[in-house]
Amino acid sequence: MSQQEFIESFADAIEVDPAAVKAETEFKALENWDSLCALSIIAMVDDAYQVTLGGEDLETSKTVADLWTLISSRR
Amino acid sequence: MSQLSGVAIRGISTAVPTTVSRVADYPHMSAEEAERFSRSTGIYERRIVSGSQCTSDLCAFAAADLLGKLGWERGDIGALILITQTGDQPVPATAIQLQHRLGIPTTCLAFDINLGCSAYPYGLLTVGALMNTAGIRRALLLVGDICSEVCNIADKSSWPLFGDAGSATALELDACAAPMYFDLMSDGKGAQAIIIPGGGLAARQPVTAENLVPVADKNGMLRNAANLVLRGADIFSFAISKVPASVLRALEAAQWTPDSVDQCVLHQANKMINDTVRKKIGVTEERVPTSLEKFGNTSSASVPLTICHTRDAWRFPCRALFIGFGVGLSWGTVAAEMGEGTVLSWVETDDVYPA
Repeated sequence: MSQQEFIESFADAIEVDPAAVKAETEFKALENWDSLCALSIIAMVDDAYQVTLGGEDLETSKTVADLWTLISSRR
Repeated sequence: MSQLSGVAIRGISTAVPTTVSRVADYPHMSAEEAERFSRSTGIYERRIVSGSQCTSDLCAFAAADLLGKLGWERGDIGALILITQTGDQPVPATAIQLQHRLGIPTTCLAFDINLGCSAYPYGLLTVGALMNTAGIRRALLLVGDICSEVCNIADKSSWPLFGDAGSATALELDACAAPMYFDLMSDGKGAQAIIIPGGGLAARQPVTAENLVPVADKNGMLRNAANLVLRGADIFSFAISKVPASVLRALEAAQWTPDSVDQCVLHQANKMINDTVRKKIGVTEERVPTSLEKFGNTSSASVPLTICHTRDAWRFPCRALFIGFGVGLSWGTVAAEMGEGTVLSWVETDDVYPA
């Protein structure tokens, strides 16, 4: 799966317009980002990539691309 | 992996307070936030205690209801064990007061156990093993929590998730009882995931005026040291990575396939967690009862409350899994065969025992 597909899944999981999310988007700065979004992302990543993200992974990742890099390294 | 033979579950009852707290009415969320919260978590309302109602009040009501329906004498009860994290006071153990209050003779052994979301499988093994070893014919396992009292109402990462409830389970020695199979696990590395860091008898952060001042965390959530902290993302990761494997080990021990399970009762954490765990175990949705919508996460009482809430599904003998996971971290599964007619309807009470 590509980074672009991941970005689309990411936007879908947190219910925002896919056009609003880019690789360099700092996701925790998104207006609607909250703890529920974090859970949605963990669920989506677990389901689509069989990778379990922890709270710290989301803390230390800044951009959507950072998260993708992390997921890719664990697949 | 543990096996418990010779102990039967004779009855399960649960009591909740009458006061309903609706997520839609929660003042710290906008209407839009509340709607999204309920859709994601599956929680729309919870029961919360009012006045000075305590865990003991809910458990005593459930226990009296159960003893009455079973027709058991108070003198039959040789052990009364309460699992709670919100006892009536730090000392003494609430179970001992319950012995007196329920009119159970002083020959009964009674104590509390400090566990939350994993209480039910842990309780069944602990009480069942004690009965077997000490030759105690009849015992009560009580589980209950009033988390509304320990969450800060302004903390939207915890307050709207939790409801209050107390439950009683009647256990009896029975040489013919089908064995129960347990998989129980602990991992203290995850202690910070759900924690009340201070207050009470805490040695690290004792009750001082300073520790009782609410402070905002980096997400702006206000809490004092005696309030519960819930790190949702960590709990989610833990639950979906550890719980399915525990369930599969219990299934293997019982030599059951996922398809052969009639009722798979998960601790009611939230809908996202429970849906993910359910898919990983491989059981279909209609065999996974839920009480999230009406009662939220009731901590130690969530498994028996869910059973009582779906009473019609328990009219006939069935194969059941009871799965707890959370604070500790502590988690586990029991595979048990349930007899017919063991489950009572949940009941409401605002009873408060005179202090």
